[in-house]
Amino acid sequence: MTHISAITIRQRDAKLTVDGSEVELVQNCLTGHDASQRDFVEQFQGLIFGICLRMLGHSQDAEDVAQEVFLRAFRNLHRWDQVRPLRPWLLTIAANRCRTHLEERGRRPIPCDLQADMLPEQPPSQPQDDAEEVQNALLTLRHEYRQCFVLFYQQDLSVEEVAQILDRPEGTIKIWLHRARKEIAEYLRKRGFRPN
Amino acid sequence: MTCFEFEEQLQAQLDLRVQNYPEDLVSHAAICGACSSLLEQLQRINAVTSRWPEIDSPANFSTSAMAAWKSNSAAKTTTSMPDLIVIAAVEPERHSTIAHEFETHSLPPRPAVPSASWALIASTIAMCVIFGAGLRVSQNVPYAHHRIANDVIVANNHSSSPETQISASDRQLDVLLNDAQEAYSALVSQALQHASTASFLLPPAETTSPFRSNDAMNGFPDSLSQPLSPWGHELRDAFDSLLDRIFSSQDSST
Repeated sequence: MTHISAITIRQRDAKLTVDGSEVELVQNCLTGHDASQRDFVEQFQGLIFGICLRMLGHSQDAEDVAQEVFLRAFRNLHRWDQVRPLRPWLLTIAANRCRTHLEERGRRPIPCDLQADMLPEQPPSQPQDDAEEVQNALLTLRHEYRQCFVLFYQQDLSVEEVAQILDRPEGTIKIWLHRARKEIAEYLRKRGFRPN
Repeated sequence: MTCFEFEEQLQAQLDLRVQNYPEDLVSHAAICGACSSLLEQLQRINAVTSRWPEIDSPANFSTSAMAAWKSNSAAKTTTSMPDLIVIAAVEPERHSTIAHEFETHSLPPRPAVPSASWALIASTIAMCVIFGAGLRVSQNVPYAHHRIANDVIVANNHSSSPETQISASDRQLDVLLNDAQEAYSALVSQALQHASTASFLLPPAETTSPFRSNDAMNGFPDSLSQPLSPWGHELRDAFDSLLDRIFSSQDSST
């Protein structure tokens, strides 16, 4: 018999509900209320900065992109559909900005002094702890796979929600997610991680 | 269950965040080392990601984000129209102030539209199109003439003038003769095949003509002796040449 964890269901229900306080907060932000705008940033900065850091693997880049996400959010708050939850809307902006940043990064050379700050693209010789190894493996994935994986696991979103955020069919998201899992498993296997 | 099916089902279970796997998955993993390893690796990834630490944003992130937002807003010389609409709905007095500023502040002059360069580009494109069309037409003129001439001939063939009737009857006669020649060749070759299958034997090459004997030629004029007294090899040569001609005409017709 199979069962889905109750914690996951509760988390998902909480995410899908449109919070009345969010609507009020957004309305206050639209009036240009400074304190409300600051509250808005403080309420969602962990979410946005977290996904940016997982996606980009570089703290300074993540901070810059997260800041850009908030600027875009403020500029487009009037377009937010109040019937829908705010969190996926913000995640969509963050995912788009991260993808754009990664594409731009791929096109331009990285200065030598910045390369040292990047999370290691080349794995260290000795195996580290599981979380670090998974993070390192994550950075070796294609951008699309990485986005899927981060949104699914870090944000605890369902495949359907990830598909909505990335504006892709569910089948595509499943394939990307499967490949991400398998490539990370292969990475761990090559790194000498044996199952407990 | 194959290993492929195992992986598909396992991934589907992971998509649904199911914690307890079906019996057939567990039983396959028990007998397949590779699938068992994959299962355990994916479970490990699940376990790691479930306890991924929360990422704290930098201490002064909200301050710097707000400063960036303020500077970005100030950098915009005019208030955007969507913002104006929102402000008009929420704060009419503020909206009137902003609208007044919007009207009184002189906007930076828009760069002059380079109409001369646009005209130049448009005329260049038009010239290219015209030149290309003209070139295409000129290339098609001989072909068009050829088509027209053919069409005239075809049209004349449908008319009932005496000349065209003659040419049409010549062509039909030619076709008829050709068919007759092929039919004749086929009949002859068929007859010769029958002759060969009936073991039609020609006299040996060394056969001497009975007319060659001195007695036999008595009383005949000398002019008749040669055509009426073929040697055996002469008869064979004539028959072979006849066969060659027949078969060569058959080959050429086919």
